[in-house]
Amino acid sequence: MSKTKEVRHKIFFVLQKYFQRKEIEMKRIKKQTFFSVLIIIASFLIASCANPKPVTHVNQESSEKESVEEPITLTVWWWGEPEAPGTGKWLKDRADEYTEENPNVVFELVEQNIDTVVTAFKAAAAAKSGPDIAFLFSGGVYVMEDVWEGNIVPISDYATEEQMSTWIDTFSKTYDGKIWTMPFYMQSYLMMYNKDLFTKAGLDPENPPSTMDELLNACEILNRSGIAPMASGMRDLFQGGIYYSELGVQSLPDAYSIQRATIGEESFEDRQHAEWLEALDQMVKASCFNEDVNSLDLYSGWEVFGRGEAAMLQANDAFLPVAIENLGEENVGLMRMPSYTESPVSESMCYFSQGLGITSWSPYKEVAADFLLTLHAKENVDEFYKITSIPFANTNFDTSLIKSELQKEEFEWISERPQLCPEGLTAIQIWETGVMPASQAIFQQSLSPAEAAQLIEDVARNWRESNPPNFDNWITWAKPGE
Amino acid sequence: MVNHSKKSINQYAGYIYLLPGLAWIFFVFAIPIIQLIGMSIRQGPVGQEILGFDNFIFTFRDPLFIKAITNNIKLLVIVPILIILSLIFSTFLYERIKGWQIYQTIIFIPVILAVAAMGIVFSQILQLKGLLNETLRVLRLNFLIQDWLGNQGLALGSVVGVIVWKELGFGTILFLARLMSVDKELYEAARIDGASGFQLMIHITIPQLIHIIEFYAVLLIVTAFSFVFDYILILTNGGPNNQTIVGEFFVYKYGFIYNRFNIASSVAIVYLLVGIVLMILRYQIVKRIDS
Repeated sequence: MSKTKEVRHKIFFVLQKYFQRKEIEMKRIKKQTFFSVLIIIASFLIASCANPKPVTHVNQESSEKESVEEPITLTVWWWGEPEAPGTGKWLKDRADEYTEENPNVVFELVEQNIDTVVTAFKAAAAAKSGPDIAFLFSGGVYVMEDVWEGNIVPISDYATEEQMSTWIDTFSKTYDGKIWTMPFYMQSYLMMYNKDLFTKAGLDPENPPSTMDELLNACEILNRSGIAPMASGMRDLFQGGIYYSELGVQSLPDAYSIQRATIGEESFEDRQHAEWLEALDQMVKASCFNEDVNSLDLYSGWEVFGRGEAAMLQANDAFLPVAIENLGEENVGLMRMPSYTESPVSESMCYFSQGLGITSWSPYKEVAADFLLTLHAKENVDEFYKITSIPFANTNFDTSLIKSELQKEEFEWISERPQLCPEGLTAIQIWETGVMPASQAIFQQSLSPAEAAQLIEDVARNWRESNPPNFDNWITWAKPGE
Repeated sequence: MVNHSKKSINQYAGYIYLLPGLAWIFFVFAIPIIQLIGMSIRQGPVGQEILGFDNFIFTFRDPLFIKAITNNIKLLVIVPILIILSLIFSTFLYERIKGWQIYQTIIFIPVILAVAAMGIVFSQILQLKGLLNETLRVLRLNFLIQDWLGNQGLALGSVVGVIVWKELGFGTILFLARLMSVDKELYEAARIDGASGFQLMIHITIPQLIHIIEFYAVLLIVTAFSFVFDYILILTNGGPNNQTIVGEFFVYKYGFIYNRFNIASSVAIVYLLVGIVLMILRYQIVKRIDS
């Protein structure tokens, strides 16, 4: 390509970016456009006549015309402050460092809020205009929809195998052999117990129940002592999803089983998909939960444990600091959801990382990817924890920085165990109108486990018959390699 | 010639004056409805494959939609409850019972409270260990203690209770305002003739209030079909076990959570049609009453 053409493309992209950023300032644009055009024409003439500087392309194959010399503004829509306070400061520091090393690259960091982080991105995607880098929740279907609709490009196209080998939680972000968002910070589901209450009830505080039989026995002992065995709040559905994540995976033959059931190759009524409902039913029948479980919402249920009124809690790691603060670290222990079966994935753990993705419309994909990859540098990973007290999704993270022994134990589990979180592996509709209400029905004892499984399958069948968009992609996702 | 032109202009002047209003209606109502119809017959956004009535067929086959529309119909129970209670309360206030001004203020307070704030308060009050049950326990009425929102058989009834509590003040004040303008001699004459309180209600109050009652009933029907989303979201989130799901909640879930705007659009169209049918029915009933 001739230098003139290159310069012309360069001018085109500068102008395009300019218009994208300034849409809301239309009046000013009208005034400035005239002068901009003059400048562009002048630049074009100068560029045609002069001997231009060599333009270095980061990726010759791509159609992008970014260069190390070109002034670039990377717009980043981020979220995370509520889950990892300090994320904003950390991100700004990293952006400033990047600008220091690459003076032609500046950042526009735009914090989103929880209500708009998804909808704003969907609106931007519809217009194919918006950020260069966007925050995307966890993985699975929450990322796949944007993959299938062509809103993001795979980060794995820009990273080496060595770089990706230290990333945590890539399974949920993988489709068609590519990793589509870069793992950001960690979240995990955790089960905790109150050692003090265990002791009071005569249970061994250092050996929490590890099998379903042991759990049912512990429930009986705790109830006899007047202690609610497990804290839960089922009124707003969400806790049901958490139980599915922890119990449901135990009987699955492999990680893709849920997707196969989603597309209809397996049934949610099959034994491996329905057995968890029987386990949950046993727990309900054995009075393993607080008396008011059906009238409390998720967080009110967790607070029952936080107040020291229940011996165990299945929650997420965001509640761990609350439990430590209220009960004292010496009184809180971590345990795994007791198992009722053995399967290849029963050792897995539900943890996930939030993600950052590169938008398909960004003219600076290479630079965006380069910036994202610098975030995984060991010093940046450690710095993230120092600021936020939340681990970054990278195995290079220095666990000696973790002060809390419980959090250290959690990160060791995450590093050692395979990841499997069912939530993102089925359609949201099946999850919210099938799985979660089915677990509510078990708690209400209004459906038997078999009927609850039938409810989930009915919803799944209904979803399959409703012409869901991207159904072909679901099939590809469920059957990798075929 | 000039006169003829003037005549023509005058003839069409009314229509010309109507134009801004019609344009407003077109842009604000007609275009979104046309877009909604366009969405409801497609698989994805406008421009994608047209499925015809598939989305509607799916909607009517979906047991959750049937549950939603059934629950909306069940919520119509608020119409007679609120009309009767509003009549009783407004009559008491009209009679200037002692402290009537305080009662009037107390009854009206829930109307000005935000549904979200009120919903959070009620979700606490109605818990198994909440204020209501604790009060019943203190009063030794243990047999009445229930899991008001957690029990799938009671949850919708509890939502009805909260809606009645919130909306009662408006109906009462509405009826009271009309009663204030009723000729007092009507009541006095009836009392002289020996009419009882019930007879006064049947033969004077209700006939005098009939148009206000009719207006209020329409408002409540619209509420039962289109304005209960906040209550459901905050109090029950559609549960337990989908037992309190209603049309609006269904549209919200499909549109904004499941990313299925087409299904959501078809449901919105169905509710629009139900609304139109109800309005026609109401018009016919009013016509009969008037005649």
